[in-house]
Amino acid sequence: MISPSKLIKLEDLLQPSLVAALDRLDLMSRKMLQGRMQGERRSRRRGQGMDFADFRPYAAGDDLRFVDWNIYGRLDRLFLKMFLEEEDLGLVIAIDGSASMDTGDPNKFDVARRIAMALTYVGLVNQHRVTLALLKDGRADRLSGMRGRRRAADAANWLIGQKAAGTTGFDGACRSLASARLGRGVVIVISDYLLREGYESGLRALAARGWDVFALQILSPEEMDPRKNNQNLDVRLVDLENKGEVEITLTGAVVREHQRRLETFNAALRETCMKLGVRQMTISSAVDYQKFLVETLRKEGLLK
Amino acid sequence: MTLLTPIFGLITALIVVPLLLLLYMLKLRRERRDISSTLLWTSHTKDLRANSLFQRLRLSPLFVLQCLLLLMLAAALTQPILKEWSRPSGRVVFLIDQSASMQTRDAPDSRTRLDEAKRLAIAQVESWQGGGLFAASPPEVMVIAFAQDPSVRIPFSTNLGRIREAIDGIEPTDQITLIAPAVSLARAFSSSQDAQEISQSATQINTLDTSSPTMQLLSDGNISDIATLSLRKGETMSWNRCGNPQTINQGISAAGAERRNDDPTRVSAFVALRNDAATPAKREVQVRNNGTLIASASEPIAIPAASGKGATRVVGAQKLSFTPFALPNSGVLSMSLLPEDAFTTDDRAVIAIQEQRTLRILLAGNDPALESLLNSLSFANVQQISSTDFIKRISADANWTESFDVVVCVDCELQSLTAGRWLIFGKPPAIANLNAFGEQPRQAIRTWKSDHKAMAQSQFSDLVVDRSAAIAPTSDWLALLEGSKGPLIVSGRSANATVIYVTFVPMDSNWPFQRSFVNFTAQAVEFLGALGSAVTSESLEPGAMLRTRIVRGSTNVLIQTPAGDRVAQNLVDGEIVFGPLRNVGVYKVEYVDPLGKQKTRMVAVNLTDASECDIAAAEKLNIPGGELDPKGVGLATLAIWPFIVAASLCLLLLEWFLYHRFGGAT
Repeated sequence: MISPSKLIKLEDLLQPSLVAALDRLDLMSRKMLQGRMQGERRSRRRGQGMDFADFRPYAAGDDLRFVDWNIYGRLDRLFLKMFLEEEDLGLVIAIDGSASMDTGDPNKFDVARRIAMALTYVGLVNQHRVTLALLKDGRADRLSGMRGRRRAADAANWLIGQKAAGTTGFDGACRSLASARLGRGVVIVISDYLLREGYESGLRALAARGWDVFALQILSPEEMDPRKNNQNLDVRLVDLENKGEVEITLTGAVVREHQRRLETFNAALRETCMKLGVRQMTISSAVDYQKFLVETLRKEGLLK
Repeated sequence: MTLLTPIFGLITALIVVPLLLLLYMLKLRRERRDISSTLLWTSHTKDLRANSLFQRLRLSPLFVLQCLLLLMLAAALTQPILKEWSRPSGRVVFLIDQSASMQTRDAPDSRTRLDEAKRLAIAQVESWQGGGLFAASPPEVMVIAFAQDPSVRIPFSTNLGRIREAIDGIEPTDQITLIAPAVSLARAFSSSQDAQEISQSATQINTLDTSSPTMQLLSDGNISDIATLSLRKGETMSWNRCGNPQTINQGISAAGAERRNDDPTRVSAFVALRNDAATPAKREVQVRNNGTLIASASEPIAIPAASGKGATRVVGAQKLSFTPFALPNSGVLSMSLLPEDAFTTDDRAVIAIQEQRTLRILLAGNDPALESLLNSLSFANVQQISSTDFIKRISADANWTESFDVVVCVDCELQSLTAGRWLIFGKPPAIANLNAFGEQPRQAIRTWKSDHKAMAQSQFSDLVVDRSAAIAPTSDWLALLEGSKGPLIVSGRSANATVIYVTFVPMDSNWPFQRSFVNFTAQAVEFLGALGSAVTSESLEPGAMLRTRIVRGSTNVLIQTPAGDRVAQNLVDGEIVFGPLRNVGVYKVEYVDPLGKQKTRMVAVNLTDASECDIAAAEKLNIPGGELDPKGVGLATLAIWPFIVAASLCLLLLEWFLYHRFGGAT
């Protein structure tokens, strides 16, 4: 069922009531990643952070500000104090921009953009490098290099300006995204993952680049229960991407069979993600996404 | 099984089943629904993606069930009913037996055979007329009720209400069963209606059903004249037997009572009992006078068992005489056999005892022998007059003779006979019926009718008549005594006169010295007198005519039937005729005589016909040219269509379950 996107302004993407809650959140990555600029995130890189990490013998050229003079007084040898340096985190939010996302009630593409905007805001507020990407027709259209709260409007305008159409070309789009010089960090791929060409290759490409990949699957309520909101059981199902048609009668048995197949499909997705070291989560587009952001994603460890 | 609306069901089946086929072959017009991906749906569908209007018919359990469902509903619309009778193609005549034996209560629920016959007839007509709006045109039905005399209750009609009303209105009678008149009546009505219809509408000749109607006989098969029944070519008759061939009966086969000659205040009564069973029976017998018990057997009377089979069968019989009892006034003696069995009509017999009185006899002429004899009769009051005076008197007053019960004339030259009852000796009256032509010489007796009441218990073989009148009576006169040269005693009617004419005077024969002279004279006087008001009334059989004379000038003549109905009667020439009598019991003739006195005369009617009292239903009806087998009783129509509809609903539930359990994939 088509429920076209209705987002036209920033308030539609990010409600003011949610902003206060998002201000308290930050991204978490399962990996200690090296950023390109000093940020607000600890990295494995020893440097100018606040948290002490270790000592090492002084070498010529070292910054004398980090010499531990107390040890020198006791041992008469120069040691340098090593700190965990706080670095920025790369956050890439990739949205499936194919026509298949422009379905459902609520619209999957709208929900994906709302979640993307909220996560972008969290990233910008915490001084991370945020990149938004639209996976579409084998390409990844990006809005890169955003940092700081001021860029939230840019991100919102970019998201509002996106239309879901065409095919995904998931493999190509992911490879395109992976090859971009976006540094390392967290990649959140929001899609329905109902991809005829498959998703494993694309996710593998992202994971291989060292990204902490989070695969967020959004399904509409109609996809989970095809008879929901439908009176007529005799339907001709039209695939929005390849225009393929399926004529079917949505009897109870057929719906149950479909749900069984969907469950199998999702299980395969989870298994693939686990194998690739990708975190995965499936939500309905009817989810209370504020609760989802504030509670669910914190439990999942994507936010803190 | 009969289909009330076969055409309608067939048409429905021919429409809906192909329609279902068409619907299955037509592709469904499905609602378009855009979805994100058909990835998970492709393996579900078996529908073709071709854009053609039709698709190949694929047999599925649902399709088979739906076809079956439609066929069953179409079958239900044919309104099948299960019953014994098939729908006749032409017209139908119901011959419903209403005779006495049809009152036997051996039908289910202790109903009478007539009730069962009526129920069967109505059930048949209703089954033919069932089906409501879509039913085919029902056959025309005529109803004839018959016992001794048939009557058309309704001519050919298709009006169910009127037919049912006519059948319901058939009342039981106590008459014997004669089928030949009923069949003749049916033939007469069938042909007359055909002719009438043809003349009324020449354009409809081709559509008229002029074939012989089917006759449906509803009877127990105890039909007296069944052996004389012959069906004509094209006539068909079927028999629905009402009654049980095993039903047995004990009853009163004869009953009588009379005042004693030596003491008219006392009455002698006797009763004869019969037993149809193969085992002896014991029954109590009671005699009541106007409802009051006056005599009873001290213990149950044993009636022997019937013996033999078929034509040689002899029913058990027992006779019983009661000690004479006092009954000076009129009354109704009823004799009852207790306890009553399934056939109660012959368990009772009634005898009307008239008031004790003497006959007023006028003796005209001189005959010492007759004068002596008449004066010696205890029930007679004799007034004597010479023949000359008698002629003068009746010339002056023609009705004078009617004031006497019997007028006895000896050698009177009567130029005509006035109203009354006459016993005439000697010269013949000048009436045309006798055709007197002179005198006969001496002659002996050749034969006599010993079964006539006036001739009973008499021997005439020794009688020799020296001189007698020569007569050649018309055929409506009955010769009671035949001499060697012609009739010597005849009986008949002339105008309003009832006459027994003896062609000689006793003194011209040796008769006064014989006992037959006494017997004949007394019995003839009593017989003629009984026509007016007898000492004891004779008993009539159902079906007979009640015919009695009452005094001219009487008014308010009514007949009260045993059921209590009072029917006004017209007095014609001093006589009333009522009948044929339908039921047993006492019929009361009430009138006011010319003197203003209320008078009542009672006539008893009893069923004593042996064949009618043999109530065991016939096994077969043997008619010339073949046998009729009974179709049995107790059959009722059973509508099948509600069961088919119920089964269809179950099928619908099964189809619904399968549809939702397996969906379109099935």
